[in-house]
Amino acid sequence: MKLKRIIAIACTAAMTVSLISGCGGASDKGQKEAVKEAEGTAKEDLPLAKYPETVTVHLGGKMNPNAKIPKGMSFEDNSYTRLLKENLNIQVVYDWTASTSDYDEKMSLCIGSNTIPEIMNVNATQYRALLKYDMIQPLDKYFDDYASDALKSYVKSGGEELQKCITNEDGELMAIPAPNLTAGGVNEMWIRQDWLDALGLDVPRTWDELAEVAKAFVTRDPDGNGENDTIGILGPGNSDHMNAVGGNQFGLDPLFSCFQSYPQYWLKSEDGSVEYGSIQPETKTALENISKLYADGVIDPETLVRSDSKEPLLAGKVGIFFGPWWCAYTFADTTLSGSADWRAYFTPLSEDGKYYTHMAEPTTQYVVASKDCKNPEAAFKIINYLIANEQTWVEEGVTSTEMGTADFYPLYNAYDNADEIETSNEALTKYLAGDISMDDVDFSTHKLLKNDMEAVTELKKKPYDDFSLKYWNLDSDLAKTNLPRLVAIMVGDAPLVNEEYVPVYNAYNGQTETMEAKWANLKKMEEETFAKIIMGKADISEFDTFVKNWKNQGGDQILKEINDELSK
Amino acid sequence: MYIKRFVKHYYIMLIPALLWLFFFSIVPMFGIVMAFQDYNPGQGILHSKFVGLENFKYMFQMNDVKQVLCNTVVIAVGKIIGNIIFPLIFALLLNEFCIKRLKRPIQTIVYLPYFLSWVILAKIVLNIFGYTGPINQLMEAFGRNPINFFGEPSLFQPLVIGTDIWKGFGYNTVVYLAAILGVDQSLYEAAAADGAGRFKRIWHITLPGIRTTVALLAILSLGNVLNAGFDQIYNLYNPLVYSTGDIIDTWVYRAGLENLQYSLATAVGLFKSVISVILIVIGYKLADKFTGYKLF
Repeated sequence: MKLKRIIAIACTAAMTVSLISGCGGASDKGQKEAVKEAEGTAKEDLPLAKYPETVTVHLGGKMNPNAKIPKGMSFEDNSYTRLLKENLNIQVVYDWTASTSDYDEKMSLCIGSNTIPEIMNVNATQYRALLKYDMIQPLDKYFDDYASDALKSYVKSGGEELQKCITNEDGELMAIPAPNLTAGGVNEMWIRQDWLDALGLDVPRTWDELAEVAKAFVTRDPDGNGENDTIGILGPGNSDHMNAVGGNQFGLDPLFSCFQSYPQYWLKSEDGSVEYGSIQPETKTALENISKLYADGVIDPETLVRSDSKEPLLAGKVGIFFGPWWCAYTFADTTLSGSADWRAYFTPLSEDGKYYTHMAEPTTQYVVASKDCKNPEAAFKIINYLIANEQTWVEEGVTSTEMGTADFYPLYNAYDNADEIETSNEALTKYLAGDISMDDVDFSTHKLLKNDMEAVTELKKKPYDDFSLKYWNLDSDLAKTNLPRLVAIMVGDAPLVNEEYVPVYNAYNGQTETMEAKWANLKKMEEETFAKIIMGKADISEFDTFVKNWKNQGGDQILKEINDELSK
Repeated sequence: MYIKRFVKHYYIMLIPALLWLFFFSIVPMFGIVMAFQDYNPGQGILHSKFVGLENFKYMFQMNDVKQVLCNTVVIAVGKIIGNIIFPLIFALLLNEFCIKRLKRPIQTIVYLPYFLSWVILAKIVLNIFGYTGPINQLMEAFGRNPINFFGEPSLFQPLVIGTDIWKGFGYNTVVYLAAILGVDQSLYEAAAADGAGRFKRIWHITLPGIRTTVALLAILSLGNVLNAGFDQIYNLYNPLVYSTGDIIDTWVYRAGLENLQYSLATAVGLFKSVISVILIVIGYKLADKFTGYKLF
C-alpha cells in the first residue's frame, strides 16, 4: 500500500513540475508585447532605427562546429550580437544551437513539435510545411517600411519567380529570402590544369574529349608518383547526390545535361504542359553513356560509396569533378599550398556545340517569423544591419577568420544580387586590365567588391589575364582570407561570363498533396535505379521499368496535380 | 527473501529512475495519437484531423514495404544470433587462455570499438573495405579483382552484421566472462579428478553453468528484432544498396524528417513497437519454459 502511495506522490509531483515548466516555457518566451519604435523616428530611418527598449528575439542557432571562438566570446555573445545590442537594442537569445549539419533536422523536429523559435532560417521544404501548418506570420506590412534599399534590390533582382516563392496563396509576403546567385545553380567542369600540362593534353570540351582526358588521368599517372592511384572524374560520396536541383558539388549533372537530360527537374514541354525530367528518353541516353564511362573506369569506382568525396580531392588524387563556382572554396587548401591548379569550363558541350545547364531555384534560404513573434521587424533590422556593415567589418577587422559573419552573425544568409558574381568578375577583369579605377565603381549595392578589388591588386601577379596558379601571390598575408574567393570569382565564374550557355529552369518548385505522401518512395526508386544503371549493377532496360513504376506509383497523379495547379 | 518489511530508502533510491521513466518513456506515449491523425503541428495533437487507420493502410500499400521489413528482420536477426554466438565462443576461448597476464589487455582491446560511435566507425569501415583499402589490396596480392564492397547489394547485409558484431562483441564477452567466473570452481576440480578433459569440462560444466545468462541476453535482444541499427546503416548505406540495406528506421528518417511526414513516420514507429512488445512477451515465456528464468 505504501508503495502505491509513494508512486502516486512521485507521479503527482512529476506532473506538477511538468505543468509548471510547460506554462513557464510559454510565458517567458520572447517579448510579451511589441516594443514600439522611438517616437519621432523618420520613416526612412526605420530599417536601422535603435529601439528605445531592448527587444529580445529568440532564434535557433546554426553553429559551425569547427569555428574557433575567440576568448571571452561565445556563440550567443560575440562581436556581432554585442553590436546588435548596442546599435539596435536587439538582444539575441538562442533557444537551441545545432551544428551546421544537424540544423535542418533540429528545425524539422521543432516544426513537428510546434516549438519553433520566433525568427528562424529554414529551407524550402520546411518553409512550405510552415506555410501549410499556418505557423508563420505575414511580413507584408513590415517589408515596405523596414527592408533596407539594398535588401529590397536583392529581392527584386530575383524577379517574379522569387516573388512566387515567398508569397502565399493570398499574395501575402511570408518570408525574407536570400536570392540564390545565378552562378550558384550552374554546374561546370573543374579540371587540373597542371595534370593536363604534365600529360601534354588540351582542355577537353566535348563528351569524347572528356572521356579521353579522364582516361589519361586514370592510366597515365598524371601526378607522377609511379602509382596507379588517380581518379579521372570524381563522383558524389554517400551523403552527396548524383543529381540535384541547382548547384551540386561532386554531382554528375553536366554529364546528364550534355544529352539535354535534367533529372529531378520539372520541365515545360513545347505544348506548355509540365513533364518530369528523370523519366524522359534523354535521361535514358544519358544514363547509358554515363554507365559506359563508369565501366571504362573513368568515373571514380567508389562513387556513392565513399564516405567523403572531399578526401581524395584534397589529397590531390582527382583530375576532374563537377560543381558550381564556389567549389574553389572546397579545394582552397590545395590552392593555398600551391599543389593543384584547378580551372573551370563548360564541358561537356552538347552535340550542337552548346552548353545546356539547369538553373537554381530562385531561393532556398528563407527567414520567417513565427505567429508568436511580437517584433518581426527585428528580423529585417538584423538583416539590414548585416548588409549595411559586412564590408566595413572586414575593413575594420571585426570580421576575421575567427569571427566570420557566416559562423556567428544571427540569421546569417548570403544576401546578394542574383548576378553579383558575374558583376564582380567583369568589374575585376576591367580593373585588372586598367580600363576602370576604383572610383568608377558604385559600391553601394556591391558589399564585397571593394574588398575584392583591393585584394586582387595585392594577390594577382602579371600577366593579369592568366589565372595560372603561379601568377597568384600565394605568400601574401591576404591569400588565406581572400584568395579562395578571388579564385572562385575569376576562375570559377569565368565560363559564365565568357561563354554562352542555355539555361533550363525548374517549372515547378512547390509540393503537391500526392508528393507529400509518395515523394520519398519515388525518389528512392529513382536514386536506386540511376545508381545501379550507372554503376553497372543493372541493365539500361531497367530504366523502362522504372518509368512505368514511377508513373503507376503516384508519378502520373503528381504530374496531373502540378499541371492543374499551374494552369489555374 | 530477506526483505520482509517495507524498506523506505530502497524506494527513495528508485525515484530518479522512475522520474526518468515517466518523463522520457511515458509522457511521450501521448504522441502515439499522431499515428491516427493527419498531424498538423500548427494545430497540435489535440486538434489535428483524425484519420483512423489511414496511415497504416498507406504504409502497407507502399510497394517497398515488404522489402524494407524483410531487410530489417534479416539484418536484426543476423545481429542477434551473431551477438550471442561469437562473444560466447570468444569468452570460452579467453577463459581457457593459458597466458593469464594477456587476458585483461585482450579483453580491453576487443571492448574498445564498443565505445566509438558509428559516425566514426563507419568512416573507418568504409576505408578498410574501400577500393584502395587493405582488404582489396590483400585480394589484389592474391590476383583477385578489387570489389566495391559497399556498392554490392548482396554483400551489404553480411557486412553490416559482421561489423556490428565486431563493434559490440567485447561487451557481451565481458558479461559471459563474469558469468563463467561465477561457476563453482569445485565442479571443475571434481571433473578433472574424474578425468574430464578441457572440452568435456566446457561442455558439461561451463556451458550449463552460464545457460541462464545466455538465455537472458537472448531474451533481452529479442525485442530488437525490428531494430536493425539506424546509425550504423545510415552512415554506411547508399542508393546502390537500398534493395538490401534500407530498413524501417532509415525509411522513416527519410520520410519523417527529410519530407516532414510526421504521421506516417509515427505510424511506422508504432507498428515497430507493437511487434517488439509481442516478441519480448514470447521470448520471456520461452525463457521461463526452457530455463526456468523469471523476472517477475
